This record gives sequence, C-alpha cells and structure tokens, in this order.
Amino acid sequence: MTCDAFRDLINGYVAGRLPADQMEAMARHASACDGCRDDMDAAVALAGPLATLPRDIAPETDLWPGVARRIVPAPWRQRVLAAAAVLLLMAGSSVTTAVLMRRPPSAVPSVAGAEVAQAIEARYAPRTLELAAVLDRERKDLAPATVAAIERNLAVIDRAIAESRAALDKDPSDPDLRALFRTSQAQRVALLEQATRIAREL
Amino acid sequence: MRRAWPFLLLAMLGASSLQAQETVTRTVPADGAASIRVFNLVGTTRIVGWSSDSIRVTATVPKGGGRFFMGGSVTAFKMGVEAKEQGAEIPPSTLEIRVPRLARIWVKSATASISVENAGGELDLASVSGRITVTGSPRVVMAESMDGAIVISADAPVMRIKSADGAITVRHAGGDLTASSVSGAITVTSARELISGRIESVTGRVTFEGAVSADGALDLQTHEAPITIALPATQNATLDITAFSGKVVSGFPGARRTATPGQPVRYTLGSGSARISVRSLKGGVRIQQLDVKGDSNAP
Amino acid sequence: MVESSVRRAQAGDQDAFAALYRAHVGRIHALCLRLEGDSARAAELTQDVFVRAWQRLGTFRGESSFATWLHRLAVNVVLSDRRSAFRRGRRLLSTGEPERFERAGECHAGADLDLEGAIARLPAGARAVFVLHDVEGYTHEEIAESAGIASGTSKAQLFRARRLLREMLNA
Repeated sequence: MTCDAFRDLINGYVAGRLPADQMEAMARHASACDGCRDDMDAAVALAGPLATLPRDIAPETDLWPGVARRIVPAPWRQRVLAAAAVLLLMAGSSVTTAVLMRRPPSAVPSVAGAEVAQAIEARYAPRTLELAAVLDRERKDLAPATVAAIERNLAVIDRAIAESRAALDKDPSDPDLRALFRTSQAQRVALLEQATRIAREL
Repeated sequence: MRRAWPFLLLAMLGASSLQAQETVTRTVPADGAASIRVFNLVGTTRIVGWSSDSIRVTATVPKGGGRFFMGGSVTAFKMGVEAKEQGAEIPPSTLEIRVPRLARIWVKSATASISVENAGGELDLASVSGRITVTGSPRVVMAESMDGAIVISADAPVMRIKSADGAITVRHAGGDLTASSVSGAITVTSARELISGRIESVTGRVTFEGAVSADGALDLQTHEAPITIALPATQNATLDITAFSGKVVSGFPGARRTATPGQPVRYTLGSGSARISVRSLKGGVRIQQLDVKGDSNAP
Repeated sequence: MVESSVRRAQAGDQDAFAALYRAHVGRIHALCLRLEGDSARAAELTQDVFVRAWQRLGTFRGESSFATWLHRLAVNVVLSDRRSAFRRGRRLLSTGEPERFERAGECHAGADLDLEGAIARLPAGARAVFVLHDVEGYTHEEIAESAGIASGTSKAQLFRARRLLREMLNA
C-alpha cells in the first residue's frame, strides 16, 4: 500500500467504514511508516473532539440590523420580470408581439406551447410593467404593512401564473387552461392597479 | 324636482385643528343625488341614508388625529379627516354621516372600517385593511380592500367586489355580480335569481349558494382552491366543470352527468337553461342541492 | 415553515428573510468564525453572507436544502474574501483569537474548547482546509474548487493541520 493510498483511507478507517482486509493492510503499512502512523494517530485523536464541536455559535451581538440596512428590496418591476420568466417584450420587439397575435387561426393548433403562453402574456406585459414601475416610484409613500400585503399577494399570484403557465405549455390548445392563465395575468394587473390607487390616493 | 342651487362654495368648516378630542356636528343642505367623497384613514366611518336633502356629519377627532375638513357645493361634497403625519401611529377618528338616500358615495380608508346603511345610490368604497359593510339597496356597489373583510348584505343590481386577502361575503345577490380575490374566501348567496355572475379567486375558497336565472350565466374560477355550488332543486342549468387535478363531486339528485374525453364534465339539471362554468387548476369542485330551507344538504 | 419562508423571501418579504436569518445565523457564524479566527471579521463576513444570500435568492431552485445552499454560499463568500484580501496585501497569517472561544455562548469545558482554540491557532491555509473538510464535511475536490487550489494541496494542508492540532492538544 502506498502512502497516498493510506492517507485516502484514513477517514474511512476513523469512521469504521473499512472492510477487515483493508484495515489489516493499513495496520501493516502504519507499523512500517512513521509519517503515515503520525497522520493516522492525529486523525484518531481529533475524531472525538470534532464530534463534540457545537454546530452553531451565536454572534456576540445581533447582526440582523446590519443586514437589514443593506438589503434593498428588489423593485417590483424587476420581480414582475423575473416572475414572468419571459424574455421581456420591450418596445423594440412589440413587432414580434404583433406578429404573434395576428397569426391566422389555422396556425393555432400547431403553435408550440410556449408561444401561446407568450402571446397571452404579451397582452398583459406592457400594462403590468407600467404599473410595477409606477409602484416602485410610489413605494416610499406606502405604509410597511401595506407593502407587505402587496408583496404577499403578488407572491400568491406569481405562483399561480407560473403554475398555470406550466400547465398551458404542456397543452396549449386547451381553452380552459388559456382562460386560467389569462385570469391569473389579469389578477396581477388588478392587484397592481389597486396598489397604485392606494399609493396615489392615501 | 328641486331647482339646483347655484354653485355655492361653502367655506371650509371646522378647519381649525381640534385641540383635545372634540366632536363637531355640521349640517348642510345637499342635492338629493349629490356626490359625496369621504376620507378617513383610521377609525370608523359610518354612513346612513335618510330622506332629507341635507348632509349631517358628526366627527370625533382625537388629539393628534388630524384635521376635520368639509367643503364643496350642494351637488359635490368632500369631507373627512386629514391626518397630519404620514406613517406615524394615527389615533382613530369617528365619522357618522347622514346623507340623502340617493347620493353617490365614495369612501376611502386605510384601516378605518366603512359601513353604509340604507343607501340607494351608487357606492364606491375602498380600504386597505378596514372592514367594509353594506346593507340596504344601493343601485351599484363597488367595494375594494386589500385585507379587510367585505360583507355586502344588500340587494344591488350591480356589484363589483374585490379583495386581496380579505374574505368577501355577499348576501342577497341578484343581478350582475363580480367578486374576485387573491386569497380571501368568497361566499355568495343569492336571494333573487342571479343574472350574471363572475366569481374568481387564486387561492380563496369559493362558495355559491342560490339560484341562477333561466337565461343567466355564472362563471366560477380558482387556481388552487375548492369551489362549492349549492343550487335549489328547481334550478335548470348546464354546468360545465373543468378541474385539472381536483375531484368533481355531485350530491345533486337528478343531475345527469356527461363525460366526454377532452371536454369539461357536464352536469345537466332540468332543462339546462342557465349556463354555469367552473374551472380550477388545482382545486376540487362540489355541486350540491339547497334544501327547502335554503341550507346545503351536504356537510 | 422554512420552505414557505424561502418562497416568501424570494418574493421580497423581508420578514420572511429575517426568519431565515434567525434560523441559520448560528451555523453560518460558526463557519465564519472558525475559518476566519477573528471575531470582528467573522461578524462582518456573516452579514456579508446574508446580504449576498438576499441578492442571490432568486437563484435558489430547491435542488438542495436551503441550509446547504446557504452554507455553500457562505464558504464562497469567506474564501473569496480571503483571496481578495490577499491580493490587497493584507496580512493573512493572523493566527486568530483563541480567547474568542473562551467567551463563546455555547461553552463546553474540556476537549472541544481546546480544539476550537487550537483551530484558531492554525495557519490560515491549513485552518481553512481543516474546517471545511473535517468540521463541515466538504470533499477535497469541493474545497479545491472553492479555494482555487489543487486538491493535492488541500490534502497536504489537511494532514498538516491535523498534526499541528494534535501537537497543540497534547501540549
């Protein structure tokens, strides 16, 4: 057994995972090699103390305030984009949108799943983004509890959008799946509109 | 019909900030169909319709609660409590307002509760987390809240109710109703026959109990929440139900079930005249029969 | 509860992230303290870890547990801090503050206290490998990748660390 091989087996030895013949081979090597015997002894000596090391060590002072100060909440606009998980249809590519929407009906059954969802999302994207941008600007005027309520509900809707989108991608021709996806998109717009009203009028 | 008063800008009444808790009462003449905007962020706003062509406001504003204001013309009023500081803990103010029964009423609040009684006009009520309650027979009810509960016990031909977390309860629905929420439960019972209804929630459970008119249409939809429909034994309706991963259960005696692959499950009651469509991605759907007393016959 | 906290934090809910902080700070701080040896720097690094975790929350896909993901992120933060500090020429061969462990909240008399102190006295490179391998359970390949060293170097440092620790514990 080479010294390299011996060293690689030390952990297994200490953990009691080695078969008997390997343990014998190690014992033979260790009796002939001082360096390897020292390595083995060190590992064995440390095994006990290592097992009793605490997993957690609380910091002496509360570090959360320092963290909280540095966390800037992600802007809604960014999260709306992330949640959509769709390559953003910015002004320049509205042409793509227009082309998708004007596709003749006969092409619909063979349209790939992702395109159907994308086309539906494209209808809601401009308004969604516009509202999210407004809300980001007005955010500072909202009470924290209201911000939390908006976040909470937006998260519920975003999850629904993702799930209904995934279902629609699998079966893009199903009218009920389209309706469910459209509804979840519309609900996001409605929530953002409601939030914008609160920000502006209260 | 009374001749409309010439435009008369009333001076700002009660504009001086109240020192300790003070209660003021003001009465002003108002057009029978005046439009009234009320603004009270924290506390209670109670509006009651009466037969007088006037508005009477009783405002109780505690120290630090802000400034009561009121102004406008006989056809358009604006009143409320303007809080001095944003974001600080604002002590609650109480507004009790008597308004002409057919007035158009618009109320905004943050955490203040809003209640409207005996109104016959159009209502537009919005809160963030204040509870909204409506009784009487308004013509139109629009109510919106983030996480305040909304309870409409009113027979209004047109209702648009929306919440995020807040539970929505609509009793005596009839006519044209839209109710939607993100996660608040929605319970709609109709006294008269509902003509057009659209009830949708993302994760709030949806319950409809009542009758749908013969030429009516009801649409119920959730993303991930159970939907329960309880209809009277005499209901004639076609129910098209699509539940992608939930169970569809019918406890309605006499419902004829048709299941065609690739199509929604269809239940036909009687002549099938009313159209009811139900959709949920992850919720289950249950149909049951209302018994004679109006209670559902299943647990 | 933790899973929903993660989802809510990903949606921007800071209260949910605060809950995650409270659930994991002990573990992350222990890692930073043992790797760094210096309690002030360990506190700073712990904060850096959570700030970075907040920024990177969107990349957590649930393929591993959140604790594992956070731990890996912490290792990367500490090791890349060490690398950039080295580039800035800061003295890295501090042997840490053994006294810190005498003040630690969870204080067991005897063997493991000596071990904590001994770890803090190790030279920086050996200390990092020992903590990551023997305390935290990373493989030499993983350590090599995170630390930017060869896995053979990692093995050599481990054995050196163990021999030094044994000497210190026997003294």
